[in-house]
Amino acid sequence: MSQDSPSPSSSRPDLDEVINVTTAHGSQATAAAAREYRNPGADKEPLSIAAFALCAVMLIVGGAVLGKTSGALFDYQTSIKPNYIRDKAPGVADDVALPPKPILDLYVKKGQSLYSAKCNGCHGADGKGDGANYPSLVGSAWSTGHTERFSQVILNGLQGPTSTGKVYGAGVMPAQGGGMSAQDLAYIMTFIRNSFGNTVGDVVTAEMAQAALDLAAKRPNPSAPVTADELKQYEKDLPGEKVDPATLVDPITLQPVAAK
Amino acid sequence: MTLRFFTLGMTASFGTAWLFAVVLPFFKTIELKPVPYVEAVDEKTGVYFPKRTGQITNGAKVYSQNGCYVCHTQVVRPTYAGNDFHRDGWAGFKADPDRGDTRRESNVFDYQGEEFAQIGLMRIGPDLSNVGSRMEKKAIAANTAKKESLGDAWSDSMKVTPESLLFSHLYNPRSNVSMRWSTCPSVAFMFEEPKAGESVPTSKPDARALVGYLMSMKKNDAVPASMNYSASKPTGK
Repeated sequence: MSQDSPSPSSSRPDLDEVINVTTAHGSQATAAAAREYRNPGADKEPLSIAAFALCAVMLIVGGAVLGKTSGALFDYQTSIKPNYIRDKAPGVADDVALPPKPILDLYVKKGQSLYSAKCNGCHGADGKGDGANYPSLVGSAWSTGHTERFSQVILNGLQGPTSTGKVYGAGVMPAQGGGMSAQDLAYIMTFIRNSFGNTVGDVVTAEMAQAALDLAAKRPNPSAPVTADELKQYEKDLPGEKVDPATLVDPITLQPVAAK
Repeated sequence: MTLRFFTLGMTASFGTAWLFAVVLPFFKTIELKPVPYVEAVDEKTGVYFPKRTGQITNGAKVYSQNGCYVCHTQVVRPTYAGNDFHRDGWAGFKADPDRGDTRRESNVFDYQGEEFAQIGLMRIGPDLSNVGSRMEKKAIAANTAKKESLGDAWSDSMKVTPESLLFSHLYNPRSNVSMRWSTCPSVAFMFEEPKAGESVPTSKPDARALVGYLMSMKKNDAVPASMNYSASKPTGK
């Protein structure tokens, strides 16, 4: 029966100096304790500090190499892998094309939200005005008549009598053309001509609306509202290719889709 | 090993990691730069720089104080990192009637103005990146169905608002029959005592701030083409 002598450096309080079972149990060592293997590392440090330092150096160098070669590993400005393109959903058709709709319906729908923002305040949600200060757009000869005349009223505003000859309380309609794009004008005009009981049934295209914007810019006095007299020169439809209101178009891109 | 050596060693090893994993990214992301639109591909000019205001900030605080982040996440991962993108309504809608495919991954601007980016700990509940848009869609669907079934008896006062759906969830997450299995805790303490016949009592300010915050979760806005990772993104002509 061999027995280790107690460690001479008893000033070190760590348990590792006495974790040999036989040593720990001292004179009470039994046969069972004596059968235990001696722990060979019991008196040593867990690992030399040099080994730790070596590992640290290797990790730092490895990280630096990875960061340099992969490009994005330590790049906190981007959260996405370089050249990432979305995968399609596995197993299902992911590209859901919205069902095409008639161009007239879409223009009316888009025009409605523009109307609520720009025109609703005076002409009202039903387009009927109030009969005293603001004229009705329903059945009006100007809003349902020639598109060129109608477009100039919207873009430049109107002073004096309206299509019925009546002068309304407000006296002057302010110009609505500021910041209005050709496409927006096309939506609004199509909406008014096909809502509130108006059933003109035509689509004012962006091409036509662009012609209207060009006309408004060419007026000799562009900041003044138009009058009934001035409107006489605009008694025609806007130039541009006419579109069949039933043309089926993609609801997002508004491009015609091939009929199936 | 002396205590001094031990302390210095620990500080150095954890401190270095903290410096590179926390401090450096913090200072690199805290000053977000607006992303410019490129006219040739985006068909508009200006910059992408969403902002948040008011009640949403208070709501974010209520959200974190009540530990919503333990079960709910707010991050839609790119498709190489997870399947969030293809879950209905999480990343946006596949076929929004007005905008088409509105889905997109989370970006750094989604967390702008938050004290903490509430990306969450676990997904016991659904992701909330787009809970505002989902509730709006749900309310519209509920109203349409009710209108159709009631016919002439329908009046606008019967309308369900998206907010009311959220209040109902906060007061009793299991009130909806299809949600009886939910393990979401109720925050009934954010409501007054219920009066007779009231399914959801009057809300206290905390609940209103929280609902305001949740309704602001519409992280499916259109982003510049430089941040759009769709295969069919606009590339210009």
